[in-house]
Amino acid sequence: MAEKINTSTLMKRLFKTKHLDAFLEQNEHNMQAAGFDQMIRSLCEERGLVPEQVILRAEIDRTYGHQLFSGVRRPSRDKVIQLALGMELGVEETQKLLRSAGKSELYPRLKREAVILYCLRRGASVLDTQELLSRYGFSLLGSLRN
Amino acid sequence: MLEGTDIEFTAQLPDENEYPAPLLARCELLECFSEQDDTRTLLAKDRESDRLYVVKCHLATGPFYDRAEPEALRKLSEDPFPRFVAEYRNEYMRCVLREYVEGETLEELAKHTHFSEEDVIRTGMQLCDELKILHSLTPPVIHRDIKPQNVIIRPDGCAVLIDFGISRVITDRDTDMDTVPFGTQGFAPPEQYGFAQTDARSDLYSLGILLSWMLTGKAAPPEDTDTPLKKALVRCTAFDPRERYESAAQFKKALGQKQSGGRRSKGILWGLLAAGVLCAAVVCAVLLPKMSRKKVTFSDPLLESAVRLNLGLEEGDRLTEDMLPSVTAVYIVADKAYPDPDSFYPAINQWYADGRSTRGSLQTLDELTQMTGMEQVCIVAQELEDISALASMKQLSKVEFKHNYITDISVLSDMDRLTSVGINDNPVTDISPLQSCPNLAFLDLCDVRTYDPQAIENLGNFDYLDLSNPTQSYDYLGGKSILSLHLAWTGLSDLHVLDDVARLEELDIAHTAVTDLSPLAAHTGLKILNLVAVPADDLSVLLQLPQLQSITISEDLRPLVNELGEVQFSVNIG
Repeated sequence: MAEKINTSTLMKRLFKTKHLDAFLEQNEHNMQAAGFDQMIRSLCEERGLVPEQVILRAEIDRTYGHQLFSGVRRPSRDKVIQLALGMELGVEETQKLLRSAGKSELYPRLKREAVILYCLRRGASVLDTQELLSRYGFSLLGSLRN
Repeated sequence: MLEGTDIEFTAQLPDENEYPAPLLARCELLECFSEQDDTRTLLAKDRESDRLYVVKCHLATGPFYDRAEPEALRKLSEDPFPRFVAEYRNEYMRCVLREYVEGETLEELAKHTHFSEEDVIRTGMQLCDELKILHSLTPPVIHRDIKPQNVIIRPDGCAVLIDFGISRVITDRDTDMDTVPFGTQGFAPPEQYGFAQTDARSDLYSLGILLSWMLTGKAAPPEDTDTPLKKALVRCTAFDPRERYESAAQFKKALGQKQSGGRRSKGILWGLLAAGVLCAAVVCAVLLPKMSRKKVTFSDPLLESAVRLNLGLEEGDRLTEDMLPSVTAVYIVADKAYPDPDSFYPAINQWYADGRSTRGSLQTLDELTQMTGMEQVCIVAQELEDISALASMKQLSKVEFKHNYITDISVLSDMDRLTSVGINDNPVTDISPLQSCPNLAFLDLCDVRTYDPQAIENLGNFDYLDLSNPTQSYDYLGGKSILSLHLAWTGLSDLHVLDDVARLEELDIAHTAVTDLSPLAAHTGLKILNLVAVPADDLSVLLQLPQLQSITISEDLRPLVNELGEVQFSVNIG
């Protein structure tokens, strides 16, 4: 009964239903905001990637990366951004991912943030992003502890 | 990929010049925690000291630009309040820098943690202590915005009140009612909406709601009074301020009495002692909790340092026995301990770069026995022989023991949470205990020369397997699924031994005797290949690997790569 369905299916069911109460009750488990680990797993799946590849591209330590995917550990904000770059997420999806991890969204009025947003938009790799950050003299991803 | 876009991009970068120039000179601005009305809250890093600060920016268009923070708050230096660092202003805004408190807000923590009654009481008592300090400043400071987003739980568990943004000083002329409804709905007391003048009891109301919320999940006074704690919370959140506790000190005292155990048993203990009924030793054995607050000392300071780092204890903080079950990980390389994997792995690389010249002197792990919550034990370059103390750690998921003298790993058998085992360069004689670890996915046997390779057959599949040693373990991989396989510096000469290995994405056969690479064609999922010092004479098979992303070769193979023409993968020289 606790099947997880994607948003468009949920939407279709909502429009088809004749009894709103029953719909809300039956689909309660689909309404809770997904946790961070749940969200990266499903983003990963949608893209036909395995966690191993994403962790590699995100330039994150393997064990640590797998712990993020399994929900054993909670990521720093920079690590969320590295995973987003590793999965080539768009800006909207990255903001959503940051929110699910309880981190603040990328904020285009700050320069370092703007560089990261630019790289996301261009589908840049983590290494390319680091290079651009270092060229402008900004802190590299992963060098901060929060 | 990003070349040729620099000039255009530089022009697009936001103008940070609206911030005061000395602030920008001192700090790198990193992220925006919130942007509300005329106040922005940023995270910044000191360019010199790397310290993190929270920057409150009050824009000139808002009411707080001209309302300076009370001097008393500036001077506040008691732990755990985040200390005032500096203030900068220009015509657009006034920016107040305070220390950044590391940790998670109570709001975030609540999403993945259930709070026990004890958690609620402990947090309440800590916050009472902080309110007591704020309320006793001259003139008194009322926080007025106590809510889950404004309480940080530090890694050591201490609750810290942050954000004095709308807090204010009570002065003699503040006899009129509050006109601006600051505060956050649900947590703000009735008087903050104009029912009465706000004073210290307003903060107690919000604290009461906060603690109720921790207990029930609802930002409202408890609906019943079936426990002493709930009774105290109901009194704390009375509509009429006159019915609430008088002060933070009084509320703290009330909370303290709701605490079962400790306090009362101490009373009984003293009573018995006074009556001379029993000798002290017996009383302690019967009445005191099993884990005492006894100070713990370690025979090796390195181990103590690793434990302290994991618990987030500072230099002078007491390390007591009851803390030991909370330790989750220790990271040590040679003569130094590290707080996390992010610092531990670079330290190993540095140790190699320094010529492996130092080694620590740890011989056993006996002093870890009480750390029953341990998940990761990563101790590199010591004189470890005996790891039997791991037997008490049922949560263990990872062990990393590179460069030690371990021979016996039977303690690891049947550990069902264990995913990762690293015993690089240890004289381990038998790896068969790992057969009974159902979740083992990472195994590093690099430079382990002393085990029977046939035991590999009985292990399962791997995400990572390093068999770079002379045992010829590669003969026993048939039927396995292995994502990343390392066979460097082995006697491997025929790649057909891997024909029956599935899922290969990374393969390292550097410094082997492989001449014929053509069997690689069967592994179409290969992404990463290390071929350094491989005596191959034909690389054309690489063109049959559609997923290949990067190869590492030595200089002598360069002409063969060039023969392939334009390739899709990157070529590194190693």
